[in-house]
Amino acid sequence: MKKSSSHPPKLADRILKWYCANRYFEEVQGDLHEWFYQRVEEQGLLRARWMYYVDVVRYFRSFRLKSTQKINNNSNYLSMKNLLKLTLRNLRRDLLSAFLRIGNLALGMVVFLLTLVYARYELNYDQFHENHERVYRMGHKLNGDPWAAGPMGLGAFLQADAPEVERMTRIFPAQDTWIKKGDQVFTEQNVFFTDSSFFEVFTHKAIDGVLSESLKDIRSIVITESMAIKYFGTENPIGQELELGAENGRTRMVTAVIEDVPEQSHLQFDFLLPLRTFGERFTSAWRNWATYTYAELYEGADQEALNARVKNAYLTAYKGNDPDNLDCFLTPIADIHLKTNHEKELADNGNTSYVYILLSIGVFVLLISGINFMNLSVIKGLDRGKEVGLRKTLGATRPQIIAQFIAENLVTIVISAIISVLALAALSPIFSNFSELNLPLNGFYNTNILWPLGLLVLFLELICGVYPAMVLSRYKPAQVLKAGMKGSIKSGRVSFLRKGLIVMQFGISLILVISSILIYNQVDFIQNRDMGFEKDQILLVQVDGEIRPKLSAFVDGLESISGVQDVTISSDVPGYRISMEAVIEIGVTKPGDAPNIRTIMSDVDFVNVYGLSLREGRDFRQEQVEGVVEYLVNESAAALIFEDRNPLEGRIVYRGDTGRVVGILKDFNFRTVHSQVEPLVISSNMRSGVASIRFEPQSTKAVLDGIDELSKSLFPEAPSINAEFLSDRFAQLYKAESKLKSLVWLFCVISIVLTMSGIFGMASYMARQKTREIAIRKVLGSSVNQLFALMSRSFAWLLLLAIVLALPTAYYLSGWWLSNFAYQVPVAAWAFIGAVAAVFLLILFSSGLVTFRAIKANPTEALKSD
Amino acid sequence: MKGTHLGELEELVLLTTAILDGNAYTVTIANEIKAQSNRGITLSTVHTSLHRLEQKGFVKSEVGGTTKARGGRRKRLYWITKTGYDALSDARELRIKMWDLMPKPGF
Repeated sequence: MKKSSSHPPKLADRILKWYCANRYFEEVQGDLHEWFYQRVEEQGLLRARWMYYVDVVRYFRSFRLKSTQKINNNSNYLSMKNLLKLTLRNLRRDLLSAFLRIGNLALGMVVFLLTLVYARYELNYDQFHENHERVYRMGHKLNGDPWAAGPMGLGAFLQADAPEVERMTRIFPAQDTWIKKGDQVFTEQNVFFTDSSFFEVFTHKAIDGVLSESLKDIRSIVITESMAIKYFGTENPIGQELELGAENGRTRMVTAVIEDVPEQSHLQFDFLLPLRTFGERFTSAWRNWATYTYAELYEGADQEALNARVKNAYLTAYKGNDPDNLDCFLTPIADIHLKTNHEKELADNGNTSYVYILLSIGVFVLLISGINFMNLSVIKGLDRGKEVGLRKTLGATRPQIIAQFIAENLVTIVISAIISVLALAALSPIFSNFSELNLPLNGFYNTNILWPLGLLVLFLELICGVYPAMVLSRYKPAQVLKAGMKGSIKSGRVSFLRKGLIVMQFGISLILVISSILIYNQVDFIQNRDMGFEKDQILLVQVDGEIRPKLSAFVDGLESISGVQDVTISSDVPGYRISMEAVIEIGVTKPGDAPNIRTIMSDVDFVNVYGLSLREGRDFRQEQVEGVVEYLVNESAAALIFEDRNPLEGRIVYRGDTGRVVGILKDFNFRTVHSQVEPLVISSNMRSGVASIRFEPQSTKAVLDGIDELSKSLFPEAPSINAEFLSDRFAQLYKAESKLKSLVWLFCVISIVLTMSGIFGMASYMARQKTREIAIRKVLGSSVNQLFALMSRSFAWLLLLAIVLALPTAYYLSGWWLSNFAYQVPVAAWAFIGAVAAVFLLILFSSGLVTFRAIKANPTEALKSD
Repeated sequence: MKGTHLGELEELVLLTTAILDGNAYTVTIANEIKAQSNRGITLSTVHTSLHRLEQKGFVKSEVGGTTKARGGRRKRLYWITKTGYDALSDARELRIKMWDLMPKPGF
């Protein structure tokens, strides 16, 4: 054994020297060395060296640390400790005021952080893709309506003939998607065919398998983690076989498992299949307008040139189209979620204005609580005139006093921040549940909530911490000590700045109250508006691959379930997007293309099931003649197609079926009332898409059970049929509004509570200041009413000013929001009057509560002390 | 100040310090405990206990001699104090008293 190598490790010694306080270093190192040589004898060099490290780490106890030694002797640390102690004592001395200030600020922070996290969540959709800045979806405008989906051939064209495009990938939703493994069958929603470049354009993490190879084989299938668990449990899914409903028993092999698609993506899928399954002819044809084309452009590519190129390709592919009616556009994928709501969107997208409404409410509430904090801090500090005077006399400079107050406010703000993080963490399950989003609210798991909080603390400190400190440090010691506070600052009066802040606070509360009344009204209005058809008591069943061959048996089966009143089969139904195609009027030549109109192809019971009313003409004939197609049009369609001609004498062609218009339906809202009623044509040439079942309300359960039984007896192989309530679908469509409604109310109540608590704090201070004045006036014979008026006057004036400023602002803001809706509830005057009255009363109530106590007190109590 | 309660480990270390009489420092104490009770104990544990015992006034210490194995570094030697001795004997008496009170177990 060489002597040099039997030394204890140098690195460990260095670590020891780094942390160990000098006081202990020598003895500790000596002990460790001795111990080390003893170990070398007993256990060998290698182990001894290793254990030496362990021992060095074990010595890491706080009393031996350098830093604790340093801190204990540092005067900065001492003065900070002193400051903290003072602050906590001051807070403890007046618990009510501390509670008001901290509670106020914490509540404001909670609301603000909540809206901020929500807004960030919504604004960050699809940004997890590495190249998301360069990835666009190619959309189209045909006769003015933007479409998200396009023809299949576009992708092939981009790949081959567009030099701007680095790569592209297409998404083609699979139909009839039930998936089978052995004897397990599930109906799946999100199954897509796609190009093998999918994982180059979009960023997804593989759990197993090689993504770049995973979609090359035409019998392959890529699944997400939760699907892997659903179908294969703990088995290794790679190489296992799955069977797709529509593929007649041919199997596919799992080639890759990826992590579940992040919630923040408009493109939610569970299964990916290679588009090559379809073969070259299908995938390069300029048809099949259900394909979503995503292009990753080169850095700095010319988008205009690309649009022009694509438009040209369209005009070549669809000869004879009017170039003016056609337009192409690129949407950055990160904008899809909030900024587009085109035809055939893959998901129900969000709404930018709701995000900003909530964010601005968050800012408002934070403002209110910040203003409260400022006012309450100043008021609280007024009691400390003597302390400041004394400090100054003893030699404290003004900057020192300022520093002290700033630090005190910082401590208070930090306490509020800690409380708000704890509150958010505690509330996060509730909010996640409510928003149905997995919001990163828990600061313990998601540290990215902490940095905005840090900024917020700094910001609040700058705004709300510095101002009170400046005001309070202004006391002149001689005057304060001689004459009390009154000698130095006119404490009873509120400064101009603070008056402004109070006006602002009142104004914001008013705006919030008015807005929430109007938002509530509008949402209520659209939810309860007569749609023009009966949306309740209708069940929808998708008619797909299994059902189609046995359709008449299925319909007969449905109709024989007791409680079912009527059944209709149609291509589309209200509440879902209805496809648009050209409808041509016979015998009239019109300039330009035939208009694209939404068209439902249904059987003869549609009008009955949906309770539509006819304005003119008749319903479809119950016994249809083979080969004769009849049409119904709604009022808007009649006006659009026939202008001033009589529709009932007209004939139209849709998808090659020429037929007479037999009736005109009254307009009904087949989508939401966000939009105007659109033209609609109903063709009697039924295409199976959806079965709509009207049932008696009292037998809901029996009908559902009946459908289940029917599905088992008719289609024992397939998964059981899902029936959906149409009213649920509409509730889904209005969900964003319903949530907005409840959130706005919640925040409105919070803002009122905050404002009231601020007023309460101010009023109690003012009442205390005026105790003697009130007592003297009372002795001299003032009535309670007079005193009350005296005390409330200052608030009342500020409130009046706030009303003058807030009403027009609220009117303007709500008008802007309401303009998003096609049908607007008239802006009600009572909302304004009611809000003003409510805020007025609440504010006078909270100030009055305090005032009243002061007035009721026995004047001798107040006067005898001097 | 901190309480003067004597923990089990502290009692052990204090006893060993008394036994080693004048030659008690971290390494020898650890060795002695190992020899007496066959209980492996790390240096830092001993050091921490000694630190506490000193704060409680049960031991006093002095920086003392060096050996070759220490590479010329001095060691801190510990002696038991009167208070420490009293605390030890109090603990012992308490145990004896309680042992006497215990009925003979029937197992």
